Amino acid sequence: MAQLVENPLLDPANLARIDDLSLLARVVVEGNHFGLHRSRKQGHGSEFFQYRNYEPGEDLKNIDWKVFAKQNELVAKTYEETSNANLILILDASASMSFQGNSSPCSKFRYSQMLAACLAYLAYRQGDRIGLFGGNQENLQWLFPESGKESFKSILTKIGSMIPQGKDPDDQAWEKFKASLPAQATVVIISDFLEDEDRITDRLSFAHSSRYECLCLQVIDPIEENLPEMDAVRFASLEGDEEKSASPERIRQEYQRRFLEHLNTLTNCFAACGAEYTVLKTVDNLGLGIRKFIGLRSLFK
Amino acid sequence: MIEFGQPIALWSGLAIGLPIFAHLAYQKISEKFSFSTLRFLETSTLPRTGRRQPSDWLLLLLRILLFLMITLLLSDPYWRTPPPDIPVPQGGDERWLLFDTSPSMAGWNAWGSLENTLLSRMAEEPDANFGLLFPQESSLRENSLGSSLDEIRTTLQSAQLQPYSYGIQAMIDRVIELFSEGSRSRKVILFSDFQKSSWQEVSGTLASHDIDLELIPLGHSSGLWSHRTGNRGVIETKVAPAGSGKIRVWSLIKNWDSNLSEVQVSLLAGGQVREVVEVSLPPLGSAQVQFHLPAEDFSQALVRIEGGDSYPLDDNQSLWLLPPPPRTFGFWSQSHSDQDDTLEQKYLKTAIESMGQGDWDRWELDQKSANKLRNGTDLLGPDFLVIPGLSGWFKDENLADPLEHYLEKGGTVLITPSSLSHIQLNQSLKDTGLLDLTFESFEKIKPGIDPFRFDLVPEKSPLSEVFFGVAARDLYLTQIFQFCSTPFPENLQVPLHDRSGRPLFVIRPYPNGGKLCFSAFRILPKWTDLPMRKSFLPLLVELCSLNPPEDLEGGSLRIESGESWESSHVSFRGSQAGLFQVDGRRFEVVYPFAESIPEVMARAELADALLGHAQSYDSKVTNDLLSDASDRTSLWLWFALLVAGLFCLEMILSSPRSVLSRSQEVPLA
Repeated sequence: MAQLVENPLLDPANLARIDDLSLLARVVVEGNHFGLHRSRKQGHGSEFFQYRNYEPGEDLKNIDWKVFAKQNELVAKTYEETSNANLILILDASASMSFQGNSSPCSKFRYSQMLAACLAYLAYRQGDRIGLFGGNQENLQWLFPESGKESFKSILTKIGSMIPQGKDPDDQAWEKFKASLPAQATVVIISDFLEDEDRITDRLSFAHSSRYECLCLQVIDPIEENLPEMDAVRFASLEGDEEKSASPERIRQEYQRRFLEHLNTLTNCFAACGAEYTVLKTVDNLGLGIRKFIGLRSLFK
Repeated sequence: MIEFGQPIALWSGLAIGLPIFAHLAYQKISEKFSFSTLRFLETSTLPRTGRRQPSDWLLLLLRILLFLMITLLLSDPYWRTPPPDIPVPQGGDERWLLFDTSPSMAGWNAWGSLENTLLSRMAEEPDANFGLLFPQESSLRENSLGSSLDEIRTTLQSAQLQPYSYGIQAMIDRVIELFSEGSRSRKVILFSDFQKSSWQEVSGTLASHDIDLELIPLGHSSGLWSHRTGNRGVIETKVAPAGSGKIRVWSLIKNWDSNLSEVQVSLLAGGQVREVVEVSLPPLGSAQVQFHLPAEDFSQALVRIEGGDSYPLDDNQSLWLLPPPPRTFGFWSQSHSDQDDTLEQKYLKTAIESMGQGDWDRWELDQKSANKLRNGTDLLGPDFLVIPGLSGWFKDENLADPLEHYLEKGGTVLITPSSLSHIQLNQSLKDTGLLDLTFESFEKIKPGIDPFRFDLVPEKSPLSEVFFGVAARDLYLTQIFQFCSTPFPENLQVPLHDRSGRPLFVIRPYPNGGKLCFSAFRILPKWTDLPMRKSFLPLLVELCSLNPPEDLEGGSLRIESGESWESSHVSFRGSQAGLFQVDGRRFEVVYPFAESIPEVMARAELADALLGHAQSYDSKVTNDLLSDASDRTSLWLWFALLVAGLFCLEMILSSPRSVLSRSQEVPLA
């Protein structure tokens, strides 16, 4: 896999200022990852791609006769070939994703939104069908994979309209989602994966199949790793009414140990499911996640 | 300007140090931190480290203010308007002289020194107008303002001690109305021994009527306003039979001093001293003395402490030596009595007459009184009326009205049913309204068959006490003719049941103590195999409550002077100490025990009670006190509202605030 030169444009601190996800994705992908991914295939699709000079011996039905009539020049129309690949983005929009530490340029959810938009754009560029599953219990989204520009726009709109609140989708919603998965797909899950490990294993049961390639991108805030620098504080859960009073100074070591243990458990858990797993911090360069995705795509192809 | 009712509470203002200390000493732990998940967190102790300067100045200021307001609230703030200039009245100086005529004034030479003390006091203010007010013969007697020295002396010489404490409160209330509107100065001058029992309940509002008060103690021989000494008194005397031909007089002598005292107590009867007993009285204690006299020789006696003391009224007590008059009973029966009626009447006469315990507790047949009651010529009747064999004749002779009247007056009546017809009995009882009961007829139980037995006597009932030690459950009747049948009205008492729960004896109580007792069986020897004297007589006494009354010790009733006693046909008020006889009822009237107590009121306490405020007593200062009451406006409510408001503000400001929960608005793509 080609090495990517680190670019300040991929810094989430800069990207977070771009409201338009479509523009953001194009900036990231076109500006920084050009050549790293395969371009669109030209072939027998339904979507017009571009004109090129007609080569003798080519099928006459490719000639655009209207252009010939106007300009007396033979040009052939090329079409975008539709691939069979499906990309399904799973985006966690539970309340815990709204967390933003002091030192972070954006919340975990904003980071996830940006990442999801970039991945969607990459897939769109390659003519893949893109689907979206996620949200939360209050607002559950499930867009079955489709190709084309309209579908891509729709995906971005949905990603942009999500608001992190409540709890993540329940088991029933996941069961329905798994039942309606296409025959073959690349599934990218962007979440903080702070819930119980057993539930994660249940939800990723489909990844055992060789027809599905699964990439789990865990987005965390640096504060979540180390706790804030405060003397005493009342911690209030973003996903409930629970509160705990503690001195971060006194519990830091134990907390870090438990958090690390959780990450290790997740690593084992994803490995057992056959899923790729990467931890991304909200201060990390956005290219890290994209590279991981491109690497997975290459492998899969 | 603002003044404080409880200025000492201002010391609680030191408590403002508490919030300052709290702000310096304690780390703020109310910060809230919204966090993704708490599953990796554990609760820990919170550091409480001191700081060099307080944080959150606004909250600290608010808390200091709150404490200050609470301090002011506790200090009872009020707004006092400066008194307007009151024009000085142009009238004269008015002085009302009040003196006490309660029995305790007889002691310690209080009554004897009254005249001189009072006239001397008058002489001190020759220009003042004097009036005189004192209780006398159950009312207040007064000499109007401006009475001369001679007039007042004459009145004083005619005044007498009352047999009981009366009219002190009425006197204090009355004197307020007696001052004239234009008087220059007003003063009440009180002459009394200020004995505690007479004065402790007295209160007045003299201060609010611009009246000064002067207290002049009388009979405080061992020093002004102090505990008086040198009193011993006869506080109880009783007479009781003591074997054949003798009676015993028992007396209790009390020593009110804190020193041991030796006294001689004598018994006078028939104008001569019959016996003298020497007795040693412990400090503030009492001792008993007993005298023996031949019975029936004397009707009255006097127990006397020889030698005299500071309070002579309680040194002797008179008592009756005669046994109480017999209690009476009588019968109402039908004109042509059948054999059962006659037999029952004879039996009951013998039984009731044998109920007494001798000369001091006798029952006597008074058929005349019973007949007069039946004819309506005398409504009093005997103490106990028996109607054996009630049947139709009772209704025919219209006896229900006099009987009802007798019961309402407190009489006791025993009714037994007729052996002949239960239907007539039912009609008589129901039609006359005496008892709303229905009776059923039962077959005669033949001799030899298992006899009917009474139900067990309930535990802790008066009946169980009567039959304690006797096999009460073995009481039985061999012949039963009639029963009350259930259900019966709730206002009836049923002290005796058979084993099936059917009432055997029914009592209808009346408000004045009257009692209608109905026996469902005849009290006849042929109805039972048991000896009547042993079985039915105690039952009858207990069920009809015929025990001797407890308040009649030795046949006479002891009351304190001033008290009244009233029964259905005797009414008596003990206006003088001594021995009295009214309608055959004998009374012993003694001076109130409370008057013997030598303790006197504290001067300041009494002054406060009479002036009507809790300030320390100063007879010269009344204007200031008066203005206190009228010109004050309490600010308590305003301060309370302020404290409540500040408290709410403090709660709002000190409520935990969320930090680091910068949830950003997620823009639309």
